Amino acid sequence: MNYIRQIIFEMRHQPLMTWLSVAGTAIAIFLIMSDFMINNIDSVSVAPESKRSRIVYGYGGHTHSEKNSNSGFLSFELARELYSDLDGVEAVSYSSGDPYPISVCLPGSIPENCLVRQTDEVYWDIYDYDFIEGAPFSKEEVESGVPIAIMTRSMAEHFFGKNETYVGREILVENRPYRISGIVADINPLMSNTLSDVFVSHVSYGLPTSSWVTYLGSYQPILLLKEGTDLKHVRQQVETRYNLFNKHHEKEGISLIYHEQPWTNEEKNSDAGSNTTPDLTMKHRSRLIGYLILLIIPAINLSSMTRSRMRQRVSEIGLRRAFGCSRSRIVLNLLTENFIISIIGGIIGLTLSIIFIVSFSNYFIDYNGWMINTVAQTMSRPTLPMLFSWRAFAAVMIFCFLLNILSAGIPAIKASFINPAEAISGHNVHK
Amino acid sequence: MKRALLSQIKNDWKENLWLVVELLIVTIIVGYLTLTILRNYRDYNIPMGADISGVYGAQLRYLDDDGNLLLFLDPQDLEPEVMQKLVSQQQALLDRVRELPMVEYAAYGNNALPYNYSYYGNILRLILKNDTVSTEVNTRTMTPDGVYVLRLQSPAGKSLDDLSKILENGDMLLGPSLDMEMHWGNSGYDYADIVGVDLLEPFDDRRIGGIVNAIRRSNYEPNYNNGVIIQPAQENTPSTLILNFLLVRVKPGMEIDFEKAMKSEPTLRATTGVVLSKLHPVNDDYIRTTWGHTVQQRTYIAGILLLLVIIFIGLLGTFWYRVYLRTPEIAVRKTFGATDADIFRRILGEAMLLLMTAFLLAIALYFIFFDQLKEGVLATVVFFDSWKWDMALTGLITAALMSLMILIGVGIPARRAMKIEPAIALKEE
Repeated sequence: MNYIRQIIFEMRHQPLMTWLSVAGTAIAIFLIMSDFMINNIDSVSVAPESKRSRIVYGYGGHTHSEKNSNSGFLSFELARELYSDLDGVEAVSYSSGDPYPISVCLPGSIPENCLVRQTDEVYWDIYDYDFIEGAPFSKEEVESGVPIAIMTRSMAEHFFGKNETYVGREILVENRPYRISGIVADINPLMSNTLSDVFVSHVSYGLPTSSWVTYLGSYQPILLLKEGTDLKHVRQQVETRYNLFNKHHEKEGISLIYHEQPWTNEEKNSDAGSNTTPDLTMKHRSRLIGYLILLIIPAINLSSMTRSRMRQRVSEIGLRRAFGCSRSRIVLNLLTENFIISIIGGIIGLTLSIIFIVSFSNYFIDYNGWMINTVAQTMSRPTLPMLFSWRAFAAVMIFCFLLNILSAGIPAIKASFINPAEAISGHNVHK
Repeated sequence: MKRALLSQIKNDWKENLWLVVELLIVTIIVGYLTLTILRNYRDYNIPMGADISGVYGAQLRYLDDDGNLLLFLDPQDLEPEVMQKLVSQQQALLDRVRELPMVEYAAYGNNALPYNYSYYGNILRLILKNDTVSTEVNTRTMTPDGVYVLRLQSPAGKSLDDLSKILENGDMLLGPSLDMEMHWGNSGYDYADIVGVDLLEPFDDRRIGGIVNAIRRSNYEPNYNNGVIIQPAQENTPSTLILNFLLVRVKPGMEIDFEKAMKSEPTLRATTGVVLSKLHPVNDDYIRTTWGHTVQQRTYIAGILLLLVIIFIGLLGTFWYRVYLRTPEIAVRKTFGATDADIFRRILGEAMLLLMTAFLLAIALYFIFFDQLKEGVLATVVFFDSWKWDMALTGLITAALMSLMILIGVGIPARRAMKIEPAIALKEE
């Protein structure tokens, strides 16, 4: 309680310095936490990707021969050859790599471009979409190729109007009739692995099983690991299968490059493509350097302000020393007081960063990479559940603590060495 | 005065050292961001090669009688009757679109539009004054009216009619890369030397009929190394079956009417033969493909502003404290005749000297790491051989911004110092 009283006292008697300290901390924490939380979106588990920590991706294939080198998503056959029946894997879905805009409309009306994703039945076990009406595809429905589709609520409302029953109604996907079998809640456009307006079964759509390049196609295996499975164990098995493939196709002069697959969501969303191996080390190092700069610059500023605030309390510190207070206690008290100010600044900074991210960060942060599928995606921003995690709060505390030590450590130690007699008499206090 | 200023800086050397470090870090970051913004601004203003205002695109697909997509359509593989049927349907679609009163021009194209990010390319080879020149080009194909739809730009001042005629005659239009232009300029060639030159493999039955500004893929992607070759396709012939886009220029202000009119277009609902889909203004493609870069520019500007605010807070706090510590000294100087302006100049001079030190260190670091910078942020400005000017402009802008912050951040406590009353300040001495 005394600490709070002390801070209120300082706010009254040294308002400029105290508020500048709070403002400096708030800006630093705002910048650091904005970056931290935005980068955390790739690893935070939120519906429909609640099992994200266990989901990995066979991102693509990269074939190499003397004549050429090609890369892209996998053919259906190669995807199964590399990723089916792996030890430690609970489920594998073979779905289209990305959703892409396709003509969708009601019979007799003008087609519109909607994002369409081609999936199988396992896809719905891996991701936890919120079904408002109907149900996911069954194995029988997918294998028989029956033309059924699942739609998001907003898309269904757009086509049929609000407060209607949608299941059983007909839409045209690329001018072919599909029956709606389920309605799911809207998906935040930043959830790029699960985003789509319409879902159809890959068999009914006739997704090409391979393209003009042998072994490549439109499929991306999605793997749900069993609880406790070590990703390295799965990667070793996949690497063995790559080696086996290369051995079998040695005579063709074609080889498949492994690229350390399957990838985590963070690796998938890094700058890596199907012909590169993701390297998060450089990315993490750059972020650390960024945080360090964002801590050092305000710390230098705050340090001089802390000295200024302590200068006013020289007599008090001298008096406390004269009455037997230890140096370590003086340092601890000063650091604690400063930490509270850092926390106030930190909370303001964190609040500002949350408001910024949720309200208008899409105008300043490039969430979608260099190319996006629809103009509507330019307006996509994270929602609150995508930001809140224990990591974010721990990070605020750690950054505030570091800022506190960097900015107040030396001034507090110096203050503890004040000579009580000189301090009380007002001499030699500027040293 | 100068000696006294230096002594004063020396006396607070520890704190000043940290301030110089802070100013150095911020100068480097602000300089880097400023240079990146300047570079992007320059790239953005290179001619795009096409005008997309009022232009619509729609994808064409060809389905067989069972509704299956003819994915890899090679006209040579089709039965003559099937091929003729598709060609007729395609021409009928083009004629219907042209008849709409709100349509100015319509054409077919493949990879003709900017902002589609296709890397589809070839190696262009030709002989120029006994030298074989080869360069990578992005291959774009269009029927002659595509020139009007996209309003291609001729650096040699040719009219759209002239350019369209070139495609009609079966010749190619070349959009040179900036590298090509520079290389050719240095070798003493001009456009007249290139026009009419026969091309070698893989375009060995064609020749260059004219020069246009290269249709770039994005405003933020400069065409330094990649040029563009525009090859012709003639309407109502099987060559149009390899074209997968309908291109339409709509009269100004009639976009909504056009979209309404297209609702009755039968190919938008066809399940066999020629099928039209994804009708959209090309401006949507522009927004989609440039959004990330535009946002990045804003981030850089916001970054500069926030760093300047941090500097402002730091300088305000530090110099407020210094003025407080130096109150008796300032009072004594005033007693001995120093004017308000002298006091203001002394405090501001101290901060400016620190900034100058940081700035000189930043320039020294720039020269030390120049080779590495050339591979990174300086790569494109060096390409233009004008990096000295770019660096000078960057330095000037950075210095101006930092000085402004110092003027505000230090000016406030300096003004406070000016108002010190010697009698009150020295009361206790």
